[in-house]
Amino acid sequence: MSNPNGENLVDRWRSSTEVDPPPLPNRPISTRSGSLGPAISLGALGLVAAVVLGGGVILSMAGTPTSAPTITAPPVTLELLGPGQLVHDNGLDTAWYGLDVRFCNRSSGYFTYLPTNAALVFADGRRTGATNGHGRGPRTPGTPSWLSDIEGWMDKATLSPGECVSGWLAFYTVSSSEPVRLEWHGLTLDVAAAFGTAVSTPASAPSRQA
Amino acid sequence: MTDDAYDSRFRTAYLDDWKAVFRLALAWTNDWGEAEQIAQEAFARLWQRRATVDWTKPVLAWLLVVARRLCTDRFRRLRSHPVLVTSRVAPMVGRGEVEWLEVREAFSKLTPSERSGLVLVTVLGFSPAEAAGLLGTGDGAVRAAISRGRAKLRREVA
Repeated sequence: MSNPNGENLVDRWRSSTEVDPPPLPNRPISTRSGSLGPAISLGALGLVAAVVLGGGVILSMAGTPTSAPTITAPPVTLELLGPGQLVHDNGLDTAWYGLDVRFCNRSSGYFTYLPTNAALVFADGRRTGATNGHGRGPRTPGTPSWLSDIEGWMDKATLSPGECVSGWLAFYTVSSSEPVRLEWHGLTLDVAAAFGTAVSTPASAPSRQA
Repeated sequence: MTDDAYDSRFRTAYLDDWKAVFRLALAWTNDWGEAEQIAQEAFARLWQRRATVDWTKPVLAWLLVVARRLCTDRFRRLRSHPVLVTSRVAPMVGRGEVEWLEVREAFSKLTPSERSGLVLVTVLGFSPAEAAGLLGTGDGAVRAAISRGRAKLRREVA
């Protein structure tokens, strides 16, 4: 701090920001166990999802693995692209579950996707919200990889009709028991209105959102 | 252009330009985590617009303008919609960030425009005119911002 020009502060700023970019692709840095748990076909849950959308979509992950589960409820689909992963971070001495998902707007109106609306529920009933969005925690696998088939941005995104967003959702472990389902909570009010229309009269087109 | 060709150019741009984009975002926000996110978002935009970007020219200027717009958009959004942070886990802090935290307070006395002008010119090596183009302002405004920024830093070390 002895330089009267303050240039040493600039020099220190410069040297401290001599950092390398995060690695590409943006995928889990280490995994210890593979599966979040087996998935069941959710075809039968479509109707249930349509009914509960106002309060949250439930994507069950209990049962025997078949194919990547997709839950469809007019006018959105939420798809699990692969098995979830339990990721350990030695730097933080913690672990989180990562889920590679795709969220699609199948309606004729706009839909605002918020990753913070997701919650992971464990077998003992405990639940945790997705960490990505605006937190400053680790970004792998909490953020999407543009090298995968990303079709949008996994952070908050307003999806045009027919547009999809895909990427990782990360949930810090809050229980020693296994995760059993993903819930999609807290649809924003304006979007909930569109869903309300879709739920009550599934065949009708949802209203377009600003 | 094939996807492989886009991928190759994107990777080159990422390796060559990420630090500059991050530095501009850091200068504007004075927040390491936000800057990393904005840099990542800028490159995501580049990938999404790979078919329309002019790859015959360096893409750094394009990235810096995108990053600056993302910074200003984020500031506006934060002002109008306070963010709910769901994670309670302490952020991961690297060595560079620890060193940067030691000077962050001094730089917090500068405005985003002053920090950005100073970093673009003295750290990234742009001319004041080039910096003005990137920041969407005039040459004189950038020079004045840099001068004010330097004066504030001098007071910090006095």
